[in-house]
Amino acid sequence: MSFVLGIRRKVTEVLELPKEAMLNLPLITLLGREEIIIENYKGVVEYGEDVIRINTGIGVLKIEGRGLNIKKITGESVTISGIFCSLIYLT
Amino acid sequence: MFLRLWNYFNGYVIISVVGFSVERFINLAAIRGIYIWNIKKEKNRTTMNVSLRGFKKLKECGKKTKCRFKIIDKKGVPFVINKGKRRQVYTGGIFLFVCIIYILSTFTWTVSVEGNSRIPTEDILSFCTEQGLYAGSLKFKTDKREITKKLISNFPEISWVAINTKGTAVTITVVEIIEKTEFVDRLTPTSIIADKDCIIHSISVSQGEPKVRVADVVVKGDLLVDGELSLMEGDLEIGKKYVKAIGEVKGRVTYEMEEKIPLSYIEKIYTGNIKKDKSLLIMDNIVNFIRPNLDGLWEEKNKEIKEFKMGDYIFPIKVEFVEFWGYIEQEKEKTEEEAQQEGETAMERHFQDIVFNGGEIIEKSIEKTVEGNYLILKAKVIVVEDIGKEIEFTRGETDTNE
Repeated sequence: MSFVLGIRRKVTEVLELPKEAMLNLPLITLLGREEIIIENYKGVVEYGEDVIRINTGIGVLKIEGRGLNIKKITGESVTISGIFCSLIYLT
Repeated sequence: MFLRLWNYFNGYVIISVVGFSVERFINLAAIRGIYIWNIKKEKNRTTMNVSLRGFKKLKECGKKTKCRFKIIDKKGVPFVINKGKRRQVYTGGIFLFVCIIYILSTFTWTVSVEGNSRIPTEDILSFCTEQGLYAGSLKFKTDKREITKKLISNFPEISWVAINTKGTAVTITVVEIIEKTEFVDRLTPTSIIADKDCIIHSISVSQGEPKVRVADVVVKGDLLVDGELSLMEGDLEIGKKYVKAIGEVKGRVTYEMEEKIPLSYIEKIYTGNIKKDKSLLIMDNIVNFIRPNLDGLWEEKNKEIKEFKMGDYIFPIKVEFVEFWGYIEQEKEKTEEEAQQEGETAMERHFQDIVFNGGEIIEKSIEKTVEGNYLILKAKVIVVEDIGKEIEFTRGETDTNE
């Protein structure tokens, strides 16, 4: 599996293809500390006012903060607003 | 902002979800392509907004994740329409209101004229009424361009006209031409003739040949100053010259006047009964349902019209307040002196009219007689006034002009 992924990585790097699509990586856009847009996610694992955990292709992303709120959720992206303190990848 | 408007038009529901794993519910919904936003976690429930289209698919998600959800609120245009379908009279009312406003706005409600100083406003308005522009006319039926053209051709004093429609008020802006200075014609040959039967009091001529002398008796139409001059060389007439006769001829004119004054008259005595009446005026049509009982003698007094204004706009609906004062008629008699005084003041008014017209009273005598129920005053006045009247030569004569 990791061998296949290695080839895939090399091919995308050589051909300059968008990595998030080819390697199934989440594309995270962070706007200050008040809004975060995560594209290419897998699902919401935990949802609370202080902690949100979102499953992505490379592991669970833990967002900590105050007054967190899912502003919008569609099949492709999730938008979270609030005041963030940390973003941690849990492997 | 734009997204919100879009959501509002498509309609959305606010639901509250209760269950063991709301996250799974959200994930499942997101994967199904249901558009969810504004997810808020409260103590034991989660509220979220779901698009109307997505809500239909949500039942399955709830079943799978064993989450129960409840609609808190429905928002958006589809629900408003639904509500309107149920309440047909209400919807009909709104529709009717819009229709009435539209229909009323197709009429012209007020017509005003501005910029005119010499042409009376009434003349312009009455002309426009003939052409189909008046308060109450349909806006799309009036051809403004045509009326503008007709106004200019009909009123020679107008140099420019604009008809502006602002809502339901029409303003006719007029620009008048500059007034022509009066042109004194000194070339057309004329003569002066007598305007009245009289005795010549004075005559002064600056151009032309005088034909009368002081104290001559003239009849109306007599030639006073002739514009035809004979050119003489010694005793021989060698030709004729026509000039404009200029001169002032004053004559003594006798006027006779009579005043008839009744010795008895009817006086109104108010009883003190006052009745008030209100009536509605809709575009100068009187609508009055409740009229006071007006048996006997009543006089209309203190008429007041109240207009309703909104800015510059005057509504065509007015309220008229009228008071009726009851009275009794009583016959009364005047003494001869009172009647005479009354007659003399009336006479004096006639005299003043003469003086006002440029006459000078040099003699007056008043005679008084009583005849039946009337006192008759007869006055004889001798007035000195201008009696000349200019007339042009007829064409045949002027043709002989050198």
